[in-house]
Amino acid sequence: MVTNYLINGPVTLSVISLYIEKISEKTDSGGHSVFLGQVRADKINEKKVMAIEYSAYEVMVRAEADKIKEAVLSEFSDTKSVDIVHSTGIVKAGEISLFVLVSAGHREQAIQACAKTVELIKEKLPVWKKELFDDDSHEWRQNH
Amino acid sequence: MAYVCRTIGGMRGRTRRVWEYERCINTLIMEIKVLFFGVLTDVTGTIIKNYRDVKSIADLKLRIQDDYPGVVHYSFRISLNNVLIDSDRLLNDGDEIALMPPFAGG
Repeated sequence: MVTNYLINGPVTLSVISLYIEKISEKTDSGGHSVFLGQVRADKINEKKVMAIEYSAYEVMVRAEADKIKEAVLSEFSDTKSVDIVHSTGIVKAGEISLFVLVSAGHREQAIQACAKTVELIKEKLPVWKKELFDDDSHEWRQNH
Repeated sequence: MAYVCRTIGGMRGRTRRVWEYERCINTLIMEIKVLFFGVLTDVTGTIIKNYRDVKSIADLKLRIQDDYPGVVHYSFRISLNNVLIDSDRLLNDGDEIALMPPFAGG
């Protein structure tokens, strides 16, 4: 269940489907842009990433995600809606940890606004990730 | 730091004594909540710690460094009641402070 932009565990196909189904109600939109963030099975110093454990400052995520939506809707005037779902807890390699859906009157702003939303999420959302390796060690990562 | 409640000479009357008592109790229970995130949970070994008798963010930083010297090796931002701050602030009872390393969402 998605609560205040967050879901415990991976963003599943059923969750994504719910958002895609609602597209039919958005009759003022002519284009939708989707971003899916996926956990990579990186190899670091001969160790393989098996999963990422996400943690979040939930109260602040809600406030910051609200601000991100407002900023994007304000900057891209043709944008009709912005949906964000981010994982907390453990997400295995290959699974989805971030879902963004932006709907706009036309494709250009749908694509641009979606890209901007993802960048703001990386910069502003109080979320942290811990890479879990196949030798049971872990390492905290930060965005570049 | 210890606080001592005592009757002030010359004061009489139940109302004044109650007022003095409540003032002391309020001082005693001044408590804030500190949340640790990301790598700082490893450094401190906890996600939450309550502190008493902390006057300001600067004061709190010193207290945290005393308890967890390792935090000085990490960069982090601080929020006060869910709002990021970049300068010293006075603290009040019930405040929630979060120590947040660089974000890593997505």
